[in-house]
Amino acid sequence: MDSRFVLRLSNVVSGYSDLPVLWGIDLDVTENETLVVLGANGAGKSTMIKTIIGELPLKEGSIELLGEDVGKYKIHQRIGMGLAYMSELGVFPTLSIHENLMLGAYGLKRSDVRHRLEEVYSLFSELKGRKGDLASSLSGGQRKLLGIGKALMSNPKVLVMDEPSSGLSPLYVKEVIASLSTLTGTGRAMVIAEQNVSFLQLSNRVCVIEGGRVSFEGSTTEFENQEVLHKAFFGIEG
Amino acid sequence: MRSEEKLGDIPAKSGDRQMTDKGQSLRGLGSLLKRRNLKDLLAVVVPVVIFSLAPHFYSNEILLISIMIYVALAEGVNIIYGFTGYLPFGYVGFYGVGAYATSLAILDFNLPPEVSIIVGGAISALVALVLMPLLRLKGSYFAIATLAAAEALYAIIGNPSLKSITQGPYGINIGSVYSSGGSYVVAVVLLGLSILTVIAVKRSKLGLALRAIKNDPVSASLSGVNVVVERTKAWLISAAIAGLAGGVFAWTITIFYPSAVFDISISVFAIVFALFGGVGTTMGPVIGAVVLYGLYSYVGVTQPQYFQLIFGAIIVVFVLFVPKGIVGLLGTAINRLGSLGQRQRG
Repeated sequence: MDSRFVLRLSNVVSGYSDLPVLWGIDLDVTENETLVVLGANGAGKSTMIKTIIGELPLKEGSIELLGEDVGKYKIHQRIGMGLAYMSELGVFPTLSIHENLMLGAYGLKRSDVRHRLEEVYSLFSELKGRKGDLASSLSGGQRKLLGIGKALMSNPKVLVMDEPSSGLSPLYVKEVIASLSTLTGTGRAMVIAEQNVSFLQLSNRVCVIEGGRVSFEGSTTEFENQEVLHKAFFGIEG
Repeated sequence: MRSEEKLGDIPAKSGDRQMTDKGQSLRGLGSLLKRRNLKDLLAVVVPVVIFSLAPHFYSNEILLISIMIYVALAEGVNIIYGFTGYLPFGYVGFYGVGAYATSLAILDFNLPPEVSIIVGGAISALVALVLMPLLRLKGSYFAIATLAAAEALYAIIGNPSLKSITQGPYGINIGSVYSSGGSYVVAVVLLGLSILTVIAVKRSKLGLALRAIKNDPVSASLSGVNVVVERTKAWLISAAIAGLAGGVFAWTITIFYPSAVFDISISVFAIVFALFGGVGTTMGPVIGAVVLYGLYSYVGVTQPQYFQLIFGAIIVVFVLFVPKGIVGLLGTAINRLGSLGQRQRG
């Protein structure tokens, strides 16, 4: 595996107002790698994602994106550097599907946009057929797919996702995983914060967060061999 | 696997089929663009032609110019409120600054009125730049802060101690450059320009970014939109339009007092006209200004004792029951008729 770091968190302390939620997170993500961040509700997964994208300020530590310290950068600056964030939040219900995708390509040159659109529409054919429809007319699962498509429009180097399975039926979770699986090994790194262990089929590495600290970090195989963790997340004997 | 079949559509298609699909979608896109271009072209040309010809059929040019000024102001409100959700109650401040800057450019620098009006628009945009910190506020706080800023501008320009510069509260007189025909032509240009600006914003990346910001600023920045910069662009464009409108007013009236160009009712009218017609649309503010200002003038003349009551009642009814404005109402009606027709055919 290529060992070039595209995202590096060093001793990250972050949280809401004066109360830290993350207590010194260290994490490296290399290009072409899919990292699944597991943790229970309140463990700090979303806080970590929000800190990476710049929605929450750093209290301590540093975040490097593509070798550059982005700790003081605003959200749009990080996005402009090659970071993309996929969430239901990122989809604008009052804009059409096509407009949502165009917004995903906001920082791109006009000449690049057409190529990106073709690529994303080829990946999500059901969106192509409804490009003029408002995003609000989509089901929860379709919105997730639109969210992924929108995030891909900027051709990001690092794609971060916060609970892509939330609110989805098992069928749509499968569909989201299938669409994400087409993105693995394409050069970009993915960081997926999840509670749903089905996403482990996408991952090269797993990070488990408990109480705002990393309690486990290793390959997916190593994770599956950790009996205690396996039992905690799969709910069955390892 | 079902999901794979759904997502991987390309390999399954034959080359011919792909080309046909592409041809059809390109033709569809082409006709969509043509329809859109035609619609936008008509949105500019129809009002401009109507107002260009109107003096041949209706002699009250001051009323016609006032309507055009209000169309421009309503379109200006449309850009900042309709696209970003920021309600500028103190919008009149830019109008007043534009009127004064135009007049002072004529009096102190002997510039032609047409150039002075452009100066008025530019100075208003400059004032908007100074007032940029107000954009940090949200909702009613922003509305109130802009109102306070407009009052402050009124107090500064109308200050008796600035008599040597602004003539203070004693009013300004640019009667030497009065030209009924000239100001009418410039008002028509302002009308066309304001509508064209809204169309340009709507069709641009800026328009898309502003609509995203109106939805949710955080989500917009997560798409890479620089929220501060894009919102500032809308703010400056909106202020410049108000400044130009103030300049046209100054050249039309030629003698006026600060109270006439910093009157809060000008802001209220512009906002109400935009709301009535439909914010976020191109034609909404045009329809709103023409219908309501026409009605306001008619009721004001025929029933002066009731006009505020009637006007107020109309506003309340529309805000409560037709929140998307006339254009939204027409759109809904057309959609319903369309689906009714489809059902009958089915």
